[in-house]
Amino acid sequence: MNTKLVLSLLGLCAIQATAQQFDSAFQLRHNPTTATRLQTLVKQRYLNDVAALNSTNKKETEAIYQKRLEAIEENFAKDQVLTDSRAQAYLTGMAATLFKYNPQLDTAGLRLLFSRSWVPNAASMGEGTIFYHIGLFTQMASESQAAFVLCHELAHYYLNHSGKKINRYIQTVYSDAFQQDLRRLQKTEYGRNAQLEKMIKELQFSNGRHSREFESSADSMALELMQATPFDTKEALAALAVLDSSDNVFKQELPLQKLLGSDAYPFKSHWIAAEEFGFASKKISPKDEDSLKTHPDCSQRIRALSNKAIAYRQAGARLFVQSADEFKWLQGAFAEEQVRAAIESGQVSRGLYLSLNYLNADPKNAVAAALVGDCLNRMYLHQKSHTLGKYVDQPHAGFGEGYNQILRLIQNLRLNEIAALAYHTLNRLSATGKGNGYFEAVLKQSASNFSTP
Amino acid sequence: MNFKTVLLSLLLPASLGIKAQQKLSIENVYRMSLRNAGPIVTNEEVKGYYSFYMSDKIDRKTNEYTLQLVDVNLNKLNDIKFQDSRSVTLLESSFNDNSIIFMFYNNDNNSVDYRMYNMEGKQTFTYSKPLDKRSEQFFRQAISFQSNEETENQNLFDIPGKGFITVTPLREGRNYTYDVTFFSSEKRRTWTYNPVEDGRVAQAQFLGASDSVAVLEVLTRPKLMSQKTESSLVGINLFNGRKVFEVNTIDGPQQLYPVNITVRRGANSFLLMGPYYGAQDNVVKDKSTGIGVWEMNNQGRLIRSKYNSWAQDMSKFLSVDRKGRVADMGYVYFHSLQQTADGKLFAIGEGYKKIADGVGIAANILAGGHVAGATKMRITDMLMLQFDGAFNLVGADVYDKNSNNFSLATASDYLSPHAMAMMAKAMGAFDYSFTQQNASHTSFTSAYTDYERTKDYKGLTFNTLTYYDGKVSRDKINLKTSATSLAIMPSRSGSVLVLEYFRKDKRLDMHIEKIN
Repeated sequence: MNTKLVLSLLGLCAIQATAQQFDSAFQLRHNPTTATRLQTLVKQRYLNDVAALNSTNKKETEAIYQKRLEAIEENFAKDQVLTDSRAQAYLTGMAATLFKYNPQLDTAGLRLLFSRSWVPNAASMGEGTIFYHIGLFTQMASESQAAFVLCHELAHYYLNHSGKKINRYIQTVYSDAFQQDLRRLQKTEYGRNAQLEKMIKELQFSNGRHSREFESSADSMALELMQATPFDTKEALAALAVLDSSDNVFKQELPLQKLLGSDAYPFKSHWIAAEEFGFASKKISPKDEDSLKTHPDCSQRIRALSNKAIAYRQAGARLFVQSADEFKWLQGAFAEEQVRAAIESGQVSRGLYLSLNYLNADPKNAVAAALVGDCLNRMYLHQKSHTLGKYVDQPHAGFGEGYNQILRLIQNLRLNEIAALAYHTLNRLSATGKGNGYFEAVLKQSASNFSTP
Repeated sequence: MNFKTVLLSLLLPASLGIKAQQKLSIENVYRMSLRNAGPIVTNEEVKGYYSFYMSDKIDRKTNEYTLQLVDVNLNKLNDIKFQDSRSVTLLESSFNDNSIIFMFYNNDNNSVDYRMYNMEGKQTFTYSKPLDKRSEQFFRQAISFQSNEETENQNLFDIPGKGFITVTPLREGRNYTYDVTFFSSEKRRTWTYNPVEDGRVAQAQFLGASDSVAVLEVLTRPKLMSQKTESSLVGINLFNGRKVFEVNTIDGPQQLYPVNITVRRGANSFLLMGPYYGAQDNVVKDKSTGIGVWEMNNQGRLIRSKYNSWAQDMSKFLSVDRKGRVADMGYVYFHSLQQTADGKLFAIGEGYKKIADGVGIAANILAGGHVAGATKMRITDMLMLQFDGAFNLVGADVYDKNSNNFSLATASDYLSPHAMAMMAKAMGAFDYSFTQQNASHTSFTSAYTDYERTKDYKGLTFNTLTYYDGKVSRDKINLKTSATSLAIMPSRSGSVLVLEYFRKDKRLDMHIEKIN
């Protein structure tokens, strides 16, 4: 193993040790015991589900259940499941309100969990696990909005949409007719792929249509679940509007000239210069695009729910059933946590954007400053060992311009420029970070990188 | 499960308790085969990548092909589908800022077919050039022989905004010549330039183009084995294919053998660079005197020239012997000429030596005649020269690497070192990979491969020399990996595309890595 590689690895170990050593710098805590307990419950549920399968297509169904289990376990393996007791208490409290006013619901086997992911989404896995991404929670304006999202995912679970999707898939792909078609095509020498592509397209359109129907019925049932509760059902419409614009957070261009560098090392505009290829991306026809969607348009969903959401609104409906202050505190903690999670899971470019966004919103926040420096330090070490490409995205027309700007910055910065930018930025913020162990450790690492020839 | 396994299980007796038929998935049945993949390049800058698949069989003679285009960030741009004969082979591609062209060899028709697409992926023009006895040899050889220089085409070159040009060696018996064909990307138009054949052996190399003239270096000699080689520059009008100029490269007491051209930015001229000799020298035997730089206009008029000799100018920076060989490097072949925005000119070269080929000599002795090459090439170190705006040499650095040997054909024994290097380049003998410059011309990166044998590491390495902010820095990527195989392709300026294939997992990981 050569010296350069050893030094790079030592550097990376130093970063990881720093993050663990300064766990207390962050507002939320990880509870390994809780994580282990939850994993056991997930595994047990899988075993029970497999044992209950009847013999028809058992092997194929079990294979799908296995893939689902792996997807859930991957969340635990990558530390994506939030096990902080205070955050969990809030989620459990929100659910308790729903269940109190909907006593008909069977809550045994449910596992309602926050995911540390920045992705503005929530997911019902179908076997009782529901992941509520903190990236979505941070965008909700009230507990009622957040409750609607939870109700929507619970609706998927209670309506057994996941089970129905699996069954439909199994019954389609492993039906005698479909298998016969595949066998016929396997023997076909000419035009085989064209016919297969047609089959795939039909399957995708059918899946898309059924998915959209499931989403609509989950929306509808979510309102039914909210109706009896003190939550404000009209907030369901606001929640859908938030979902419609949820990826705007990465569209926002950040004032990089202000956030990065210093008077001694100013930000250079050519670092974010774009280069165009010139070849246009092939556009899917609007008809095909609509047909392939798994969710109806948010505007369509809002229209579908509008009358009922207003009609169901109780007198005395509240935006917050639990403490509004606690809700705000949680959102602040989540804004920090999603950055930390992105960095720890190796999504350095996402981490850099989110940490800069966090710092921009709270310029005196020592942890925000440290997170920015941590991202830049990691970029330096990865680039030095020619592995940065595994941890950053490449610019894409589908990303927001704000995020693409960060990606271009990462592309254009040279190794010594990353080190210099990190060091000078942290140096400028040293008054903000003074006394914060995490910040000071990150600053020390950046000074070491900067002084390395 | 593949088809053969299904059939086998059907033949097995039921008493063995084996299920007659396993279930199929769409993934098992769908078949596509990758034929070729590579970068899409213009002006030595990678703009994206293409993959060429055989995506379906239409009938006994016809396949459906798919050209998949991705941008330099590996985002998918387009799938271009077309139908053609089963026996087409994709040879090269090029991009000229408004169009992309693919060159195919069609074995059924014995033709070279060109398909051109616009920026929306729509086919604009197709051209077809039937091959005859004189031209087919080159293309048959091209199919079986690939250069390892990912950004350097052998036959197809872009003319920005206008079209594409091909230079095809022609051979019939003892007659060696060439032709030049232009394919327009602006409208359906093509022309072919055929030089006057005077019985001399002529070998042409496309150097580049200005806004109106394509420039070739043409080496001629009386006969194949003749040692008297002359160099001339031929300028061909891009609009009508007529010769604009043909000038020998003798300038007073010097004769230049240009290998590189670059259009002078902001001026109606171009720069040529290459080794120069005394006007009366025998280039097969005599040493080159140094490196010359010419500035010429589109009419072929020499505007100015500058000669940097080994003995006086180069020796200030490098150790040079009386035969014009840089100590331990030997002769130098220049791969690339780079103008930077700060007014400097850089020449990136690689050393080579002619050495005796013991195997070849032994074969000749045994055969009693000249049946094998008696000399071979030893590829040595990299060299970077720096010139100021007046073409004065202001810096020279040698970048050492391990030497490796390369055998050439029988005829190479009679070639000048310069012509030998041109042949070696065409055969992929050099370790040089590519040079890329950024769009603002403030930085460039030259890349080459090497094999390292140290106590820390033994294996192939990918090496770069980068000019940035007035300095040249070196970087290296070790190519040993836990993957089954690893390949590096050029990417945007300052980066490379790393492909790692894991056979057990049937997974291909691609990621773009920046050069330090």
